[in-house]
Amino acid sequence: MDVVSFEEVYKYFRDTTGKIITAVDGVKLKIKEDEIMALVGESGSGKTTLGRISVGLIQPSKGRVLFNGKEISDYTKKELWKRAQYIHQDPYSSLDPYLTVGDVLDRPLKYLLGIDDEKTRREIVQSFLQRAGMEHIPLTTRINRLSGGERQRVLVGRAFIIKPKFVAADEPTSMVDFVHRNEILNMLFNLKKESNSSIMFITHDLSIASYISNRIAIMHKGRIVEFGSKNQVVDTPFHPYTQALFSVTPEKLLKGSVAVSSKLVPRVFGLEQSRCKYADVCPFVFERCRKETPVLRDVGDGHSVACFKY
Amino acid sequence: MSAKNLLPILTRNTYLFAGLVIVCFFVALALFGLFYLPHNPLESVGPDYAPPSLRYLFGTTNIGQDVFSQWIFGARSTLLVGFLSGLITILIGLAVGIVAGFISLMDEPLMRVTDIFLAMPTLPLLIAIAEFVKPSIYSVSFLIAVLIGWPGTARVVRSSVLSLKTQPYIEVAKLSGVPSYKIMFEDIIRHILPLSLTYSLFSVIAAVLTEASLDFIGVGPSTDYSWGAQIELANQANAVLFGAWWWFLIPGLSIAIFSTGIALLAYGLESIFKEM
Amino acid sequence: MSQRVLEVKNLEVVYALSTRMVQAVSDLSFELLKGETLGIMGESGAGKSTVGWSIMRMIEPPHKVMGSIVTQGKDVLTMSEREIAEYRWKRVAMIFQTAMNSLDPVSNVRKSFVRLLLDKRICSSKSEALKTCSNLLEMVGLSESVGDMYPFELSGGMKQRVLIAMAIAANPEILIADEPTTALDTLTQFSILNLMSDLRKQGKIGSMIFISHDLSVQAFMADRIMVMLKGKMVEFGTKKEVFETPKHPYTQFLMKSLKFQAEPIRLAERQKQSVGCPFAKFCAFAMNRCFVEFPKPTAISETHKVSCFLFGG
Repeated sequence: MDVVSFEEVYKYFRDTTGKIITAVDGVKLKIKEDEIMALVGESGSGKTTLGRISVGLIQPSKGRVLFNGKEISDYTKKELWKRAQYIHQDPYSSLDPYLTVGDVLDRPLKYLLGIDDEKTRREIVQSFLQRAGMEHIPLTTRINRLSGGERQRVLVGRAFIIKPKFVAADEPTSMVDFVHRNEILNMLFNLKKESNSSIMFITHDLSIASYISNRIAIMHKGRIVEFGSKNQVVDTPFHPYTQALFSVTPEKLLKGSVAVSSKLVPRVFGLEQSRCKYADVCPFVFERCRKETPVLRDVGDGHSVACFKY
Repeated sequence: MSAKNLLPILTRNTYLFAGLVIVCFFVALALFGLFYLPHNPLESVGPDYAPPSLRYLFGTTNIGQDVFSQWIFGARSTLLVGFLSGLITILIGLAVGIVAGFISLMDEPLMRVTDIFLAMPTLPLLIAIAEFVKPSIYSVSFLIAVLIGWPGTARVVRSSVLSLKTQPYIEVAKLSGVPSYKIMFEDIIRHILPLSLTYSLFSVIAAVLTEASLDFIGVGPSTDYSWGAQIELANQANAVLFGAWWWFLIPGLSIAIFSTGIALLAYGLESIFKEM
Repeated sequence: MSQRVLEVKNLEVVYALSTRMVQAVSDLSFELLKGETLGIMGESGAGKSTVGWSIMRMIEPPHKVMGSIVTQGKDVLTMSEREIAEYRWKRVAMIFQTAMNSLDPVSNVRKSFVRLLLDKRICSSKSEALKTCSNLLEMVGLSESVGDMYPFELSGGMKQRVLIAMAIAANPEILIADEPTTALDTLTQFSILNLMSDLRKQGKIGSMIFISHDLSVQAFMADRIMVMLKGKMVEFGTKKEVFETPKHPYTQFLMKSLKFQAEPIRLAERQKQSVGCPFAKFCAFAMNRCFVEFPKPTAISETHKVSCFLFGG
């Protein structure tokens, strides 16, 4: 069964001038059990919004989100968050500086799992720290004394300590330096294995996505434009946007593929409003792209693209 | 925050240090008066209208009471009104402000109530009540806090809470299942307490001045001989005409200096908390 | 032998904060050659931006700047006010990391431009300034109509292009770009980088100091790279040397991390260490010496140097 299923989800916001912004524009996506799905997109693609919708922090404007087959709105908050958790992007503003590491990890056990006995909870926290590779941080350390990398670990730990079925992780490594990045990724892997969770790994970095995911979904201006297994998307990207993203990965740049990147790089101005949101900058654009919105179509083996080229 | 770092922090900030010195001085004075007074402040112990001398450091009143003893004695009541009122103010202000800020449904109604209190001519109302009820030091503290003190604090607390509410770590607390009342009165309070405390120090000043005003009009708890009451008595006896400046100047200056001390303390604390 | 446009010797920068002193840069020496792009690479806290600010002489007392920064025979750190006015923006220009908000929100682009050109006496009359403004906008790939727009109407990429245009207005010998594309989308990022690269090829930018933590961006832009860690230089070499044959354990770690091949880091005990090599507590090859002193740079080849006791120092 699918752990999380987005069914034609739309989300609209009003910005400060009153204009309506479409953050999520008709997303249909399913996340399977025990998998890591990478949701790749730039800022403004709607990936963070989708992530927050997936755990019930935001309600969709239109469409349904199902968790374990049941609509999210049918769960109480506690019931939902016992099973679906969220990891924020910024480890500095997501942790209360006055709490201790022990407090942060203790709370989900006490309030979500309802473990009343303090001693039991402390034991669980201690053993969890061991398995999560955080033994060197004493439980009584206040959050404001931790470095960015350590904070991020606490954030990740907080989400996994209750062994949820699903975790939406919003760019968990983007605010962390290289030294800690691999540790965080390893930690995520290990904790996921231990609790058999599914992870929706939200990122703008295609190389991280390629490294850790089972399946990849590419998001552009609120729509999923391509998705498939990791190998499918990495080896044969179909959508022009995906191809453009791949042209500027570190591997390509190290080989000095300047020519490729400058060809696929968008023009600065895209003033026309086309139906396909990528049409304004797409090198392969047809007339059809301006008039109709492409939908995701399966092009073989579960690999889907939303593009009129196919 | 260990005790070791406390002293350098205290001495580095001159506002804080000055304020602390002044306030502590007056508190010590009031406490001292609980155990020893040079003369019975209410008894006639000397000549009428005697100017300051070695025997009567601040001179005597129109019926020969020792002003110095009265000064020490009066500190007790004045400070009591100030601090008690301040305490009640912050308690009510915090409760209202946090609930209004955190629970959006409660925001409108609570803020309207606050607005009513702010718009009401509370001082005349207070005077009217005082005239009828003839309050004691304790009840006047309470009345001042309820009628005049809390709305300002509530407003300040509410705006802090409104901005704090949007912080991701509050959302994380909710995600961890922490019930709202705990988030409000444990997590959020921890963040706003320092600044709210500082702000409420100003209500201490307001309370002291209001009580003095009530005394001066004649509806205050003058039997407790607060500094304000002393000024009133001096005024009633036309001390000015007799040139007995010591009788009203001493309590008057004391009110001013004490208030300044509290203000300095507040400014000092504010800059420390901002740094934290 | 390429001409040296800038020579930095033994640069030290200490920030005086309210509660303590922070050593931002220690004993840094390097030179910038004519026509090259020198990449300063390192993670947050490495001191990269500080180097840029020092070269612009923007670090004022109570903070301390020591050492020398010599260009055209004069030391920037000891120049007079008048000399600095001639120096800043004419010889050296900088694009800041937080540049997104440095445009005047109540003036349109053209007005801001004209103001800059006249203030800095790059142009002597308004009509000349207007013409120069149009040329510059065209140079950075923006249409004339952008001149009428206000900053809030511009996208991130467009704002960045305006700032680049402003930075090259006086045809500076040296352009310092501090994370110029970090806040932008990957694709926009590379269109800006392409632009900067083209401008350099056309000679509109003389030499460039390119500050970024992003390895792939450095791979694209830089000719030579200086790797910094916590205020110290750990490695310096051509792009090829640094990316293909890194010598310092930290650089090797960075390159491996790029391909997700880095070995798990030995978890550091939570101690603060202010002397010695900042990488020592993570380094598989660390010796006792590494915790106590920081090595002097050793030359591996004519162009490649490392600061590591494994190679001398």
